[in-house]
Amino acid sequence: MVEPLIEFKNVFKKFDGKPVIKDLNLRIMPGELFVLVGSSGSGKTTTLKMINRLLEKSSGTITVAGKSVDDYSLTDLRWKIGYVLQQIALFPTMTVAKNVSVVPDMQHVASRQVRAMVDNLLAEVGLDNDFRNRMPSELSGGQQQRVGIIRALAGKPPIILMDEPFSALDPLARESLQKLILKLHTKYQNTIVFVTHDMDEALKLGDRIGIMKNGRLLQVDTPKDITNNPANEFVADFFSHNRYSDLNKILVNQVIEAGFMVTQRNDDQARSAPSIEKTSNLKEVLRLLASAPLVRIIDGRGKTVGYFDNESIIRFLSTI
Amino acid sequence: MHDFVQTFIDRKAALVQALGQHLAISFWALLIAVIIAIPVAIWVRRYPKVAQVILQLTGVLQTIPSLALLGLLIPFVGIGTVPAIIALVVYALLPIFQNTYVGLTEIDPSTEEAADAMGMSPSRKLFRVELPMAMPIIISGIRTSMVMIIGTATLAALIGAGGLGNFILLGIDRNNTSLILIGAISAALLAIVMSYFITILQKMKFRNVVILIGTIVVIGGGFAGYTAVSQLNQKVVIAGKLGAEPEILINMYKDLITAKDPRLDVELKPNFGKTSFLFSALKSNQINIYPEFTGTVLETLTHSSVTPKTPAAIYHLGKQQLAQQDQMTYLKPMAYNNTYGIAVKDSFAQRYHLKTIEDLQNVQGKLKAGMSMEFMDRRDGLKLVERRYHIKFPVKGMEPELRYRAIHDNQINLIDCYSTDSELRQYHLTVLKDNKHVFPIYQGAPLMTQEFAKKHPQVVSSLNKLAGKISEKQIQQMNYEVNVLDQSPASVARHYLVKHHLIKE
Repeated sequence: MVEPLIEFKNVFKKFDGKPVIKDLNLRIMPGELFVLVGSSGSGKTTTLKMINRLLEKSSGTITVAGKSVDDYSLTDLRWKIGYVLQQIALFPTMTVAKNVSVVPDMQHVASRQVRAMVDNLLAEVGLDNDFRNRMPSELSGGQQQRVGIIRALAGKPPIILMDEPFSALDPLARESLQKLILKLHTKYQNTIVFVTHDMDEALKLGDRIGIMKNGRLLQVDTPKDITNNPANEFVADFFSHNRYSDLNKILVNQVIEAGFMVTQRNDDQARSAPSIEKTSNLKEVLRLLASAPLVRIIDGRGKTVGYFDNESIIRFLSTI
Repeated sequence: MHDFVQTFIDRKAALVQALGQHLAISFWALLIAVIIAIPVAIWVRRYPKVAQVILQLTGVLQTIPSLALLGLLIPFVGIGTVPAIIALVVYALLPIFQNTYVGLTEIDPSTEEAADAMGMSPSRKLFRVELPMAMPIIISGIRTSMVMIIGTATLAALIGAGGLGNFILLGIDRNNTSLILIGAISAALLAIVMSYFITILQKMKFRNVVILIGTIVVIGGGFAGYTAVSQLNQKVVIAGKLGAEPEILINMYKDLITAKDPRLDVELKPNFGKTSFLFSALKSNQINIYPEFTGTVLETLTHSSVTPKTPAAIYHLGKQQLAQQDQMTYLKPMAYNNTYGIAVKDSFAQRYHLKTIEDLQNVQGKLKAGMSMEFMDRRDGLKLVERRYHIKFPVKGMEPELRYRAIHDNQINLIDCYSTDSELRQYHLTVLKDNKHVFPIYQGAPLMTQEFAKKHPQVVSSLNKLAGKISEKQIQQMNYEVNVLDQSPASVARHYLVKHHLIKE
């Protein structure tokens, strides 16, 4: 039997005494692309950051390659695990090439070797050699995240953690980067733990998907099994054809929880957008979208919580 | 403009020296401030409360007036370059500390997280990620401090550290606008050049900057060390207070000493500072000799409770008290008395046969006086004159410089003065005799430590040649030659000594 590469056993995490991860048990196998999906506050990012100890668990054990993460030196552990952030966070004072070679430089890899590797990796993500000496600020968001991905790959880590890496990107860039991840995963056969709030993305990428809510792991299964045999009503809410068959019965809330809300819009369109309550239904949303490019979602007290645009709703409908 | 150019050409050598001193003081102060402020800011960035306390503290330090700070430091570190650098460091801390702290704490947390997740150690993260990101704002803090240091360093001249402030002080003292302008413009230019230099440093690689600064430190340190060692080498340092008269006197001292013992190395520090600076410098052996007045000794240095009447008694009491209280040797005084006086135009004196202050009683109705506020206010000034000599006349308070102009233009006909002022000669004025000894006696004489006097008997005997020499008329003439005719104090001093056969040509 194959041993899991990453394993959580009875893991708890508390922030200021409040439990945010409750009794987490999870085995991630070598070579898997594992997606953790859930709405904000579900504990998926916390789970991810406990693997490379950016956050420390409160109790329980987490093992990487059969050894507890506490028994690694921090540097050894983190060199085994690449990391890609939602904020991308390239080092702004370094060129693209310097950013990519941060880890190999620390590992004292010969500079000629590092040079060749940087060229290879840039080519791998569709950036030519001219990008070597550019500064991060000169790149588009999508280009920056390509660099962010190969920065994580450069140390040849067996594991890569990705924390909502594409949620700040526009739909086109997101689409092509999702394809890129699948291609790289097939090529390098590394183990990826991918966090997203976007169910569509989870279904597209995951070998297996773990669904989290309120600090608990509700179900872990292949995309197919999850859609066919949801473990409980909440999971079923995401995928049930019956529930979504009548647009009148799909609540705005459910669409939000499925991860199809646009959170950040600060333009004129957003200010003039018609508003809709979280308790309203999808039919009403579609009616408003017929005459406006954007709909503003408000809570019971009239506070804006986010937006729907045509694209987010169409993507939601495509999951039904 | 012509004056300005002429002064500039005359003082070129002194200007280069002052620029060098100014640059050295500023460089060390800035370097020390950087070495203190940046590590402290790095250390406290994780403790916002401590950082707030330090920000408040450095802010308070910065509000202390620089003159007061220099004064406060004298009892602890004496005078000269060291207290000047300490004071400048104190001022430079705030901008560097504040900018470093802000630059480091405003780094995006996600960038920090990325560095952590790459497995960087805290020190690697600091040098590769955090400091480079904070560098532009740190540099701007350093630049602010640098400009402030170069400006404030002009005050260093007040405590004998030299620099461009010497020009400004001398200019104020001699009422010479060209000197003030040269000092001020040079300081401003220096700030601009250094600011440009920092811009260049900013573009250089960090390693090269460290190498460059290191080289400057080694060369500068070596030079300072060499100067310090060579000073141990039996050098006689003679200093003087601000102004032409002390500078003439110390040049005479130098000529007399080297005439007797040409191998002795004598260094002059003219315009070194005020009384208390010079006295504490003498006590701490930073200087060996300076000319001091008998009246000032009793008043300021020994705080004598009694003031004898005759010049000889004043000198002897001062000499005795200095020997007892401070182990000082006070050599014999010169003839002239640099005290207050009452002066009228030569022509006015002739017409009404005025020789003494008493003679003024006969012309009381014709008098219109202009006098300095200080003289009108002092107990031993105008009030005592009126009481002792039983005279009364209308008086206007005036700025000291304006008095001479006003009497020259016949707006007034009586003024107060110092008995050695060069203006007395310049505007043809007569000082009336003070037969009743209303004004205190101020005779100049060389002051040194007993230890120095014992070690250098030939210096003592050389300086004693001046005892009883130089009349008031003569010193007025010499002050006139320096202040008005712009001759060098050295040549004026030498001319006097040769003329009176105190040294050979």
